[in-house]
Order: sequence, then C-alpha cells, then structure tokens
Amino acid sequence: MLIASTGCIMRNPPLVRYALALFLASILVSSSLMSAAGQGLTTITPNPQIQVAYIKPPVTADAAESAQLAATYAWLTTRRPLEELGVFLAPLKLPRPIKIQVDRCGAERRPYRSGDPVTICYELISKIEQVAGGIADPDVKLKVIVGTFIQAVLHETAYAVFDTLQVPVWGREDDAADRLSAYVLMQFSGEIATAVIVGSAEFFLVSSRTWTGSEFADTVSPEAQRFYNFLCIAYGGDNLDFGGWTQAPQGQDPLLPQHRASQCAYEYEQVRHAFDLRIMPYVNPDLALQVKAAQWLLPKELGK
Amino acid sequence: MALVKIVAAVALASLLLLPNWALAQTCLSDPAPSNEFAQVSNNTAYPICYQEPIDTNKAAYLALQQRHLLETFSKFLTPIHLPHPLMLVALNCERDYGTVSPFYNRDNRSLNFCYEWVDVVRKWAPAQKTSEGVTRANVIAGMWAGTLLHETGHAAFDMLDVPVFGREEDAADQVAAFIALQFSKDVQIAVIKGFAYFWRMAAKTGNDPPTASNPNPPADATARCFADPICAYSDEHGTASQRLYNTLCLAYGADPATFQDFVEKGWLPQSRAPDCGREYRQLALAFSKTILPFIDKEAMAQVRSSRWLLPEELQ
Repeated sequence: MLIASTGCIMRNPPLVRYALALFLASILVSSSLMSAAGQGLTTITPNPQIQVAYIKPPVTADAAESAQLAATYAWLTTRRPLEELGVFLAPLKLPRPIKIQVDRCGAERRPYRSGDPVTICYELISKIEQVAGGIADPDVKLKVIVGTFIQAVLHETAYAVFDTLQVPVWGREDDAADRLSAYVLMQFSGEIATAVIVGSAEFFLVSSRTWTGSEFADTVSPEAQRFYNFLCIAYGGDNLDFGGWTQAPQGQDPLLPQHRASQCAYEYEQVRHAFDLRIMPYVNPDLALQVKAAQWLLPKELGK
Repeated sequence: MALVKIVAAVALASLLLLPNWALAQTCLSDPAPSNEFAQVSNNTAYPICYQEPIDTNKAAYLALQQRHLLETFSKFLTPIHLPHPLMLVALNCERDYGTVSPFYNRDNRSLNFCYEWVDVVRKWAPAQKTSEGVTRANVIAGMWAGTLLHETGHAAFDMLDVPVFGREEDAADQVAAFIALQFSKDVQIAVIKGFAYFWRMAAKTGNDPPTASNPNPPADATARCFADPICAYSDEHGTASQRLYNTLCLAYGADPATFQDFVEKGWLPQSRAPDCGREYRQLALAFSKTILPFIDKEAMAQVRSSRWLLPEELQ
C-alpha cells in the first residue's frame, strides 16, 4: 500500500504509452477483477433491472491500439465484470432498468444522460492501464488497476442511480458520484476499502496534472481534489484503518493534512445521512448483508 | 411574595429561552434609522447582533451598520422556517476563530459575518466602474448577499437535515445562486455579477492552487499545504475559478438570454455552457425536494416583490 505505508507522494511519473498494452488482459484473464467464483456470489440473484453490454471495439489504423482494445474486449467478455456489478447491485430496487455498457467514446468519459445507457469507455480503461504502467511495484500496479476500474464503474453507475431514483443532488454531481461510491465501498471489509479506495486514490494522484484558468470549468474535479475527497471519506469512515494518513513521517507532512482531516468524520456522516435518507429506502437489507458478506476480491487483488 | 415568584419565573423563563450565544455576547444597540431598510429587528427566528469591532475594522462595522445589513437580511429570511432560531452576528473572527471568512457555527446555530471579510471585499471591489460595467457598490452588495446566502445554506443543511451527496461548500454556493436567481432580473444580475467579479479577481490574483512547488515553503503547516500544487487541493472549498464557473453556469442555465453576456465576454467558457440548463434543473429539483417545503410561499411572494438593493447597487 504505497501511499499509506510510506506517506510519500508520487507526482506525475513518466507514463509509458502502451508499454503494458496487454497488462490488464494478461493479469485479469487469469484471475478477475471481481471474482465470479468468489464465495457467496453465485447464490445471489443479479438485479433484473441491470442490463449489461460489451460493445465490440472497431479495428483502427493503429495496430498497437487495436491489439489493446481487442485484448480488453476479450477480457471483458470472458470475465464479465458488469454481470458481477448486477450481482453487487442486487439489493437495489430500481423502478426502471439501467443499462450499463463498455463502448468506444472518443474520450475517457461519455457523460450520462437520462434514459441513455451508463457507459464505461474503452479509453478510460486504456488510461488506467497507461497510468498504472508508470508504477514499478507490481502489487501497487494491480491494486491501482483493480481499484480504479471498480471505482469508475460505481462512479458512472451512481449517475444513473441518482437519475432513476430522482435523488436530490446537492453539490457537483461528479463529486457526489465519487462520495457515494467511496461510501459504498466503505461498507465492505477494511481489506476491500483499502484495496479499492487506496487503489483509485493512488490513480488520481499519479495521473494528476496541472490545472489552470478555464480548465477549472470542467464538471469533473481536478484529480488532486478527487484524491483528497476519497481519502477523506475513507479516513472519516474509519480512522483506525486509515489513521496513518494523518501521521507525519519524520520531516514530512502527513498525506491528509490536519485542516481537512478534522472535517472528515463530518463528511462521512453527511454522506451516510444522505444515503440513509434517499437511497436506503430502495435497498433490500437482507440482500445487502449477503452482498456485504460475499468474497468480492481475490487474495492477490487484496495485496496478499 | 406571589409577585416575586412571578418575576423570578419570568426571569428564569427568559434566560432559558435565550440561546447560549446571547449570554456570552454583547450586542451593540440598533443603529439609528437612516434609510428605508432600517428597522428594529424583532424577528425572533433570525435575531441579529452587531458585536463591537476592533479599531482596525471600525469602517467595516460602520459600512454594515449604515446599510442595516443584518436587519435587512433578517427580514429577507422571514419566509424560511427553520426549526431553530438562526442568529445573525457581525463580529471580528480572526482572534477567536482563526479565520477572516464568514462561517456558520453548528454548535450554536449562528451565522458569523466577519468584519475582516467585509474589509477584504471592500479592498477587492473596484474603485470605479470597470470597462465591463461592474461597479463598486455592485460588487460589495453582490458579495454580501452571496456570502450571507451561502452561510444560510449551511444553516439550512444542518437544521433541515438536508441530504448532501456532493461537497457541502459547493452546495452552499448553489443555495446562494439559486435564491438570488428567484428575484427580478436586475437583482439577479447584480448579485451574480458581484459574486463572479470577486472570484474572478481571486483567481486572477493567484488564489487558485499554485502550479509549482514553492522553493521556500512556509513554516506553518496549513500555509505550507496551500503553497503546494497537490496539497492545495485538500481544501474543502472549490478553487476560486471553480466557484466562479459553477455560479455563472447556474445563472446561465436558469436564463441563457439574460446571462449570455457572461459567455460572450469569456467569463463562462463555451465548454461548460451547453450543459448548464441541466445543472440548473438538477439544482431546482434538489431545492424543491429538500428546502422548498420549509418556505412559506405567500411570505416568499411578498419578499420577492420587495426591494432589497439600493439603486447604485443595481447598476
């Protein structure tokens, strides 16, 4: 756990484009992001309102890119992570179907529009691989890929949940999607929260770039802002597992500065309160416990 | 004997009815009326208190007092029925609270409007009308209104148990913008323009996060963090530019014709503008579900048709 154990901050390591083009596929065809064979999962009926699709990417003029897309598509259709999302969301009673797909978008994100499918873009998966390519430690690399992918799927799905359940969203919607997905992950074991939240937080840190002027008009927040939002929900939800972030190593500043850390319990409670008021009424509590008890990640993905 | 008992009972009752803050603070007496907004505030839902300013901020106190800002705002809030009184306090904040920025205090349900902040706004407001048509009175009134409404947003979130999924600081800016946008066009433009001018100036004068590390980092830990290009983003507030664009986007989303100017002048980038209608509608839904039920519609209609800004502030 790079950021928690050392407290050091990696900033913009050189990215090796396509250096690990098949990294995701090579690791994950042999394991899985969310293990379909995991204990308890097979007994839970997937949410019938979650419909999934993997759109086959076109062959492009760039051979390396085409190979990468084909490998990603092969992994997706073999391991079928979106079907597992359907199991994960089994407790959620939805008034109408939500379609979730992986598609080529021409950008890293395709903003959700009411009535349209939720889209995870191949470009985002490429970006995750690309960023992870700059991480030398293979354990951290795997954690970043797994964590970021799961977080990205939950994040995009949150938009459709807000829309479908007509949830009042105060604040910027993209931050709300981040906070909701971080909160949901915190309901699982410390190991899962650590793997996914730390993995995706690490992704935001290593992919952070300099923002100036009109770039701040983006509805998606700067990576560094998202990084601290994630850390804060995790620390606010569990200051024992994540307490190391507020401790300063010799001669250094803590990863989570005091002025923010002191607010995190409040931030976490705020999201919990919002969740209890506006989403919990649609959650089947018995199924939620089954989902919580299931084995979602393989030991390797948990850093064991 | 009976009379003594009654007097004692009344004294005790009035003590019990007084919130804690009132026992600990000394409020200056109401200033003498000097314009149409001056009224002795008897609004028990939104009591007011001007505390004695320190000498450095005397001018700020006088500016508020002459404008009868707290009295006016207390009256303005009448239609919003919070379950507890919200005390509106003008005070020096830095010595006791270590900040110059206004804040809502959840511990005693008070909105604290800092004299130091009033002076920051007065310092940043243009001395004369700018080439883009922004006046000094406009910026000061817009920022005062925007800031009071922002802090009222925090109070409403707290007292009305509002579900806040996004970042609360952004949400409080949304409350401010949304309420301002329910008034006449000239009020909307004045408040949004004043608020936007302030955050635009803040961004232009280096208040967005730094883009490079400071070779001589400050000794104070918080100052050192805000001087760091990553750590600066740990602030619970958005950056100055984000606050500018978020607010302009809501204004443009509510009424593209009225706020088209902001896009044409480049204050709101073209990249953000097309989706602003959706952002505004999402905010309107959140407001109508979580705050509107606590607003007295008849009283609000009256407030909306009343005059709140002076002619020079509307220019």
